[in-house]
Amino acid sequence: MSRSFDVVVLGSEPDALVAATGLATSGVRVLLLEPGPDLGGIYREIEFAPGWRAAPLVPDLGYLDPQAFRGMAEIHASVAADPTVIALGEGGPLALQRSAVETAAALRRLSARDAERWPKFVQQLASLAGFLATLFRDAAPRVDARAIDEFLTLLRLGRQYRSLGRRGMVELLRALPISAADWLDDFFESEPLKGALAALAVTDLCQGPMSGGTALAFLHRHVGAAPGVIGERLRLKAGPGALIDALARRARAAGVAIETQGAVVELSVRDGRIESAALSSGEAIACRAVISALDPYQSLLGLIDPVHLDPVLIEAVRNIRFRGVTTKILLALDALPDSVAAATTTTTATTTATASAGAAGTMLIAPSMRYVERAFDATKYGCCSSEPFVMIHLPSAVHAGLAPPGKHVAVLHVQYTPYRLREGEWGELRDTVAERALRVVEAHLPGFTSQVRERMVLSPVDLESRFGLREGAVSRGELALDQLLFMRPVPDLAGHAAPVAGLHLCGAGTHPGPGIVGASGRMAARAALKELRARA
Amino acid sequence: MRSSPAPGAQRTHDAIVVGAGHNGLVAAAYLARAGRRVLVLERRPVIGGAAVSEQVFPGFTFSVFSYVVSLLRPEIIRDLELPRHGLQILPLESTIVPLPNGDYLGSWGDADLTRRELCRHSARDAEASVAYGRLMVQMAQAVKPLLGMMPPDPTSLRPGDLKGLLKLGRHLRSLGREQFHALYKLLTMSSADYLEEWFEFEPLKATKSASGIIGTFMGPRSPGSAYVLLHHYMGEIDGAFRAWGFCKGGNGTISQAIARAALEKGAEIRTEAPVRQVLLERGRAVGVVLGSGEECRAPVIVSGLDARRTYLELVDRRALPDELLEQVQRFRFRGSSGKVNLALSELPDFTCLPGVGAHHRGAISISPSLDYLERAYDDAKYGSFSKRPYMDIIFPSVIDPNMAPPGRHVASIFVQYCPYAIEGGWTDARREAFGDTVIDTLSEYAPNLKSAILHAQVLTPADIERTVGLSEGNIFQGELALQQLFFLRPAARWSSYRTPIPGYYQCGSSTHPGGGVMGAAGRLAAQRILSDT
Repeated sequence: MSRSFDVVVLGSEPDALVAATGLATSGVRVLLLEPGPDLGGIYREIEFAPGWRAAPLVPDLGYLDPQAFRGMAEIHASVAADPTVIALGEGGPLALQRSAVETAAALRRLSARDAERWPKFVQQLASLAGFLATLFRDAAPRVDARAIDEFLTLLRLGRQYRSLGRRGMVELLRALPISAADWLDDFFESEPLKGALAALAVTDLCQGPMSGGTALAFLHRHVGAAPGVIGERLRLKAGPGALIDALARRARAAGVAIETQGAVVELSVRDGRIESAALSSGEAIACRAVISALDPYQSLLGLIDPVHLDPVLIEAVRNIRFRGVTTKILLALDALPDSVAAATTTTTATTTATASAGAAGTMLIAPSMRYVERAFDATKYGCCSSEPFVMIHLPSAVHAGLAPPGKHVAVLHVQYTPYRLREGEWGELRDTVAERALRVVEAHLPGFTSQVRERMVLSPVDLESRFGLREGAVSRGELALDQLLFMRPVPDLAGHAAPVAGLHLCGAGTHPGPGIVGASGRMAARAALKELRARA
Repeated sequence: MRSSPAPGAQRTHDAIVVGAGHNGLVAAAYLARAGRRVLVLERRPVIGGAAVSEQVFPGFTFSVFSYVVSLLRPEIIRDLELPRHGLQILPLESTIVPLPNGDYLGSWGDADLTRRELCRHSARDAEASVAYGRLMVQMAQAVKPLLGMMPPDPTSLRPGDLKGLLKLGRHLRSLGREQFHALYKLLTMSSADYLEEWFEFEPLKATKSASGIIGTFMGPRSPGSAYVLLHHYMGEIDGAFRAWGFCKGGNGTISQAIARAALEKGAEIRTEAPVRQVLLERGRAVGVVLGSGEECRAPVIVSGLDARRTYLELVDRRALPDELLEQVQRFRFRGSSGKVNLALSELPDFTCLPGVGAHHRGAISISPSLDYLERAYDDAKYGSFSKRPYMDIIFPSVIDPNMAPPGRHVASIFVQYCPYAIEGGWTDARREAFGDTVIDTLSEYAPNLKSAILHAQVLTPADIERTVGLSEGNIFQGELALQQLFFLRPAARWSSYRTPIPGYYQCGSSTHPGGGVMGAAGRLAAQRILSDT
């Protein structure tokens, strides 16, 4: 006898777990299926060398949707100290710390004017990111809203918008389409500062700082960040896997059935509605609804017979831009070179003791906006940057147990290395890219490469095959103005429902987008529940 | 072309327009039609701003800066009876794109011809072009009401603005979901990405996306360039299918026609009358001071100059709120266009279409691929003119033989990119190098070119700035980027032609709806003034 559930959830990243839990607590019978052997997808560390582990795609956990994570004390207890971005460059490391006063003091050696502007920048960033947080709390507003609750959402948004103040309202409108380069030029003059901020704007994005929409990308990354914090939002002492474990515990406690090694290969549709999910094992599980946290391309074009889908929708999904440009390099380090300690220790202006900005932070090599823009240029012609910008994370400095005692893990984030190459192919280029990146790192952190014992290079092609990220894009759909809000993943599907009744999407590829964790799962559960109740 | 009283004589005017660019002239004409006594003051000896025709070399008339027309608002042509005043627009019948392999890609006013031509290169694109054309017309129609609308202030709660915002919202809702989404994409995407969803043939994508880079500091792959593509499409509507046109006599004739319309209704135009400052008394605009020291008084002063000059040069900054000053200072003008005007002993002989032919009556576009355009943009990003530039070329003398002596010709070459902020600054040597690059590149497609050149006029953004006063040589009086459009053009709260100073107004392309020889800003400014006074 075949099994049946009310809802089958595909995937086991946070949004899937949140969606499953949300439904189960409302009395729905839920089965969550993870295709791989472990729960968590990209949130689970991989062992890239015997004894060394890391989760390369989740250096920071982003913004945990407050509603989805309400009451999860164990998460809040595990939060690591405020991360810091340390820009490496001429003139020494520049630490962008949570305290705007400290950062301003550090900026003084670069530019007195920028030091003075910094607190205002931080304030405006908090204000604009705060507005976006509100915008991302609910389903994307639609211009043709008809339902009363949509109108109320619009009204609430309107009020929130007005509360920005007149200047704030203008700044928000400006910040949405403008390039990060112009936006930053309006604030600052110092190139090392702007280079670092620009690199953060274009992280995992196939755009350069001079491209429109990159200021918005910067804001998006800062949704949920505590005021003053730049570039990273959340690290857990127990690592990203702890988030998954906590969510899974809660899901099971709510009654969700969770299975691994359960890859769904097809969703069958009858009379325009989902009726079952077929596993690779051959088993077909009857269900009334499916929530898929896989990327939208896979969910819609990989699992459903196209005869059930509107051709306009199919075309729109084919046109979703993914454009992975990131290579991750996992490094097993015998020890941290002195240059790292030197870079990550800062003397604050207000204390005489040296305070460690923390190897917990991110080191960033992006000496100027022009440097980042030039690195980007290569991708337009299907090539990898000859001088990439690189970010260095040291997860082992926060999370114990990732490496043998006394040893460390480093993860390099390298841009730009486009998924689609015009010449050559990734099998040959992996090492070249790694060499270039290590050369850049060595130039700023002397002695680094001599500590590297083992390495694993994950090109966009590897990220795709290993983690199921289409074109190696962790965003699961490029973060661009035309691929956000009511356009994400495609126009008309931003309500977390698909034209096939009973299918709902969530995850980074849906509204509100990457880095905002749990919101889409929460909204998908709500939409699924509403639909189930309407049909009952 | 002027009606000037004896200098020094006091005349009372109802309004003074600073600058006789086409928007200033349109504003003057509409005010005059409404019975106001208008005085237009122009610094140069000729009127028209960047829409001028000049005999730079004897016998050869150049449409010196702007050289084609299509966006000139039909209602303006009608209201001001411009044809009666000499405006005659002749269609540019074709665009030919020479290809590196010696072939070419053509497009004509005749849709069938164009489709057949496209079939030669890509049957799929030929088919797609039908739906694409239809959608673009719908999009242009969707945006058209916005062109004629005074932008509401999105930060105010005043009834007028709220009504405007509601009207805007209702209009967008009326488009229906599909069209709204298509419009939203056009407002936010890059022209390359947008076109790649429709077409496959590289030169087709490139040529279409080229209209998305005109006058901007963007490449075809820059998000936001699809808007500019749409902006330039808006001349192709309004009943008659109207491709880009050429004005008989050059674009100067447009300015002359508008000026005649204004003069006929009693306006006065003085040339060689540079305005130094706007006179303020008790915080109000009461007149202007000329370079000579002469004062002219009027209760309404309208600046047709760009936002930088309007706010930072013509008035005392202390009279302006910080909020406005800040926005004006952030308003971007990065000029990226150059112009090369040639007097020729014969027409260029294009290897892709040998001999003199119908193609000489249309435009030639050097835009073989998206990469070509994007690399041209890359050069500009780092402070250099494009080593292999994009070009749009027409031969006015073929359409209007009066532009050159018999048997001779003129060529009007619009070039991108030619950045204002060239590394080291513009010098005569650099200008020459730029001109050489343009001519060398074009010669690759027409080898007889160099030997046919009698005279060459090369204009960089620095020249444009110096000659006609456009800051940084930006041909649109400010970039056409979303953060500087509509209610943000040139600044929030000050986007409906008023300035913070009572009596002082703005009417140039630095205001909505932006650049191109449209006249819309001048007309809307006049409406604002008439309703205020």
